[in-house]
Amino acid sequence: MRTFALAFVAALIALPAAAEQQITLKKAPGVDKVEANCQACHSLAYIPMNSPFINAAGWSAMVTNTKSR
Amino acid sequence: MITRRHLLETAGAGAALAVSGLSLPKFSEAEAAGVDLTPGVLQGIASYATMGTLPGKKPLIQLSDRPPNYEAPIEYLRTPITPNNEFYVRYHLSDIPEVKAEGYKIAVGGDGANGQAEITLDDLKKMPAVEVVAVNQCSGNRRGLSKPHVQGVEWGYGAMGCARWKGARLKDVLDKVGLKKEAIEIAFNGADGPAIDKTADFIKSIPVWKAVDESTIIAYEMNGAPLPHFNGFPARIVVPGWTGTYWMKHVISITALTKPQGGFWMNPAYRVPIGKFPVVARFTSQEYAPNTPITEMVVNSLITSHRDGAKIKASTVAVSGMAWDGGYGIRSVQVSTDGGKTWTSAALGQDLGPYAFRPWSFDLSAKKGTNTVMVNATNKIGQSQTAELIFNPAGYHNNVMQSITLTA
Repeated sequence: MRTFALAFVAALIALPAAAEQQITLKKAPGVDKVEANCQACHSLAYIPMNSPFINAAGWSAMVTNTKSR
Repeated sequence: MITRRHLLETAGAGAALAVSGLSLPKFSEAEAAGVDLTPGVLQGIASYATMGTLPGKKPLIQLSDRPPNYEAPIEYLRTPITPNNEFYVRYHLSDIPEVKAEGYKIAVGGDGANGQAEITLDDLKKMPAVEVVAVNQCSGNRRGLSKPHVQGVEWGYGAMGCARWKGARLKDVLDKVGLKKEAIEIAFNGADGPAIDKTADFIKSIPVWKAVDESTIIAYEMNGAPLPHFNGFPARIVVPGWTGTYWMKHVISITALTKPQGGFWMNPAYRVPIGKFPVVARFTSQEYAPNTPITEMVVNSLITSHRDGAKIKASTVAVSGMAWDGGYGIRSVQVSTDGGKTWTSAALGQDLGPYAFRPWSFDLSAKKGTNTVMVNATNKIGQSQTAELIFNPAGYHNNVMQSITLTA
């Protein structure tokens, strides 16, 4: 639910996350774009979580997929 | 919180993931030190994951912090009822408001309804209360074990739990507005939403026949307490037997539809190839070849007393765990110690109903050296677990018989 204004919603931010993750990506060309764009919506954790088996074409498809949802 | 440095330092000692501050009745400090990721999940997770503690929760395996995706270590799944503070957490979208009980209401209506209504928490509590003990399992539980690997949150064994849910029947709420005979689906929306407007909101529907089932409820209590925030306070949909994707948290709208619900989260997400799995429950209004929505859980079991590779004594050792299915109930749990050549029935524990975890236990006569324990559950309609993975692109319905090695 996004475009609503309801009195019972105290704050549109998550409860204090006691456990903020520190994800360090490899310093490689494009890392700044990833950090700037991907983590606007979600943690960078999804990247090391999936990177052992996804190749460049797979990442391209996944980025298209997440942007088009 | 433990740090990644600590994680790496302890990895050599056989503990890829140590837990601090864990206190379980039947769970010694020594065992706590051994808590780690599900064997076989991707190395990528081991590179960053730690135990994380959300407000009101014990440490859980933190796969992602935003949105929060935290799974339970198997030691939390040793009892047929999973305590609220040990229950796993799964969200799709990262904008998660803290919904207050005061002023909370659910909008009920839609083109498949005769009228509209607003239902408050007090309204729900005034309606006839129903209790159901039911397993909530993420559709993607065990995705991280898929071979070949598939994209998504790479869950191990712990994206599930079983609770006693109390609430009002969804049917009784729908009766307040009245369903038209043309209504085919009931859709749910929760208070959580995407970080940006362009992203599809998480909206899910179920067929009317399942919505009006006596056991499908709008729960406001979990194990005798209000729902924890991270499990859907003030109220969530409980769809016993079906995977967690339909159990909408923080539910704020219930909509009767005369046409199939659209959106990313109905299609292409949460689908399985038609005919590939032995499931009875179908969601025909959403069935578009080649795939169909995931529905009921497949019969499954998990060893929770020991982790793969655990050291035991060469004596009689109780190996135990949980079995569950899509609501037909567990008939038997068979254990093999010779790689599947011969099987022996495990003792079944307390029966909390067809939707609940069914505990089982087996006395292993452990010999010196290597012992293997393989488990296969069968439900009351004769379905058993699979010997080999039934591969599908989203990694759902992984009920491969577990086999662990115990060394004495």
